[in-house]
Amino acid sequence: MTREQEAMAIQQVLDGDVNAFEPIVKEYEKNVYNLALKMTGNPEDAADISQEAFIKAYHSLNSFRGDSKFSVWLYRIVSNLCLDFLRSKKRRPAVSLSAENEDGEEVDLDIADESQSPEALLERKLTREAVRRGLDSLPEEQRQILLLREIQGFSYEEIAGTLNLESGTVKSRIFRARKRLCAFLLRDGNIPEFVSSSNTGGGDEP
Amino acid sequence: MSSCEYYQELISRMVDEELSAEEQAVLVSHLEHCPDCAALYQAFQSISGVIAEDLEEPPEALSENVMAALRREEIKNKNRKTMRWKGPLATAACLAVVIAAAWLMPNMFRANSAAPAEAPAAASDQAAPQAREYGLENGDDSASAEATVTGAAPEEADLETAPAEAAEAYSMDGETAAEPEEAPSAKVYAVGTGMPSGGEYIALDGDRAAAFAALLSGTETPLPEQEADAVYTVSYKVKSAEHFVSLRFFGEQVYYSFDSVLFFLSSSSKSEFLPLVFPEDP
Repeated sequence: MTREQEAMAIQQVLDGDVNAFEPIVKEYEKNVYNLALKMTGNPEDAADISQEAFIKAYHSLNSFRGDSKFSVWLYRIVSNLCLDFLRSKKRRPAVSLSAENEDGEEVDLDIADESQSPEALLERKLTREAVRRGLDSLPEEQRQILLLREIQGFSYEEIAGTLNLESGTVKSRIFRARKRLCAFLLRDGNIPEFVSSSNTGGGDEP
Repeated sequence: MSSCEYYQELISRMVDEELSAEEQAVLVSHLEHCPDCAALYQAFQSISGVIAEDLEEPPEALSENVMAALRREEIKNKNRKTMRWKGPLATAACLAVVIAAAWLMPNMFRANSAAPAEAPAAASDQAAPQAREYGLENGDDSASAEATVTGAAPEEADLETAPAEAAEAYSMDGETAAEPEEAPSAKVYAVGTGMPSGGEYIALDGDRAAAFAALLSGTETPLPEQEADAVYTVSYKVKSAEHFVSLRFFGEQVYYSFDSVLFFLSSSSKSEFLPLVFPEDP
């Protein structure tokens, strides 16, 4: 679907043609579903959230201004639904790598693990499963921002627009998410051999 | 902040192709001299690649479910809008129609189950005086419409006179959803007008859905000008597709619209139709 076709389909929907929404759903269902899947870690929740997101998008389509990409607008809906869902579940990460500082903010723990020798890590491979678990261990907002970048391929500027953040915040949050993911994979024994603990442990504030 | 930490942040941005040319040049030259940062760059790249490639197919029914839900909502909204279109002037008339309908409907069902084809005069005898008594607007129209029920093939002759725009305004768009479903099932959504059972939800079992679908045939016709006494949207699934049918009652007459086309139900199919949809009525 080209951007022109997409704009045309959106206009048809706004003009009352519900069927014109179908190609839009088909165009984005894979990315929407995968974003929800990685956010929630559960296929059923991801399917429910995806459906809800498309229905919500349909109903609020008249608030889509067309000055940003439709995908950016759509993924914001998905992303927010995921966060709402996770908060409502009061979900705890499977492996908590976070702590709160005196201001109540979530901070990464220093998890440099000296017991893992580089030789042992050499044997490990970076598997999808490990990365999934690693993503799951991230604080929701770090996971959200990293996924918008990695799955949807958004630029920092688009992410900033999607999440109403300063682009500097986007930059540092993605970086922290990556570092933390690396740290998790290292601790989990899945990090590629070439990353030493000295790089992933330690303070993470940019 | 160590200098490597500064570079680490650049590494993250390099993976995202968010570096300026100057920054990139600085970083690349650092990576040549710093094995740790070079390793981190590879780690970030690898993780990024794994996440981006690890996409699963969405459930097959996802888009179908979304579209079916939206189409259902659309049907309900359209029926509601239909009732609003006539504006404030219609409010009083609607009220009259609703009251009349509340009285007429049970009679109509009785008339239908009591062999309407053989004794059509009985039906019109019953209904017409009540229509007048309860102030049904368009009294002339409904009287003449009822009279035609007694005729042999009345529908075309009488209804051809209704303007095409009226049919346009009332008819549903093509609201079919290609939704594979093995067992037939059907739901009846009572929407729109203030029937005694207005808003009530009736679920039909599979056999009734199939029987309902089998009865869908009739003569294509424009819609009468007057307000329908009641409008029901019936959603049913048979074999592979979900369909929406709008049932419209005009005094003694029943129409259904399907894929933008309005059909007039013959009195014999009507007598089979109504007990299927409204089994509680006599």
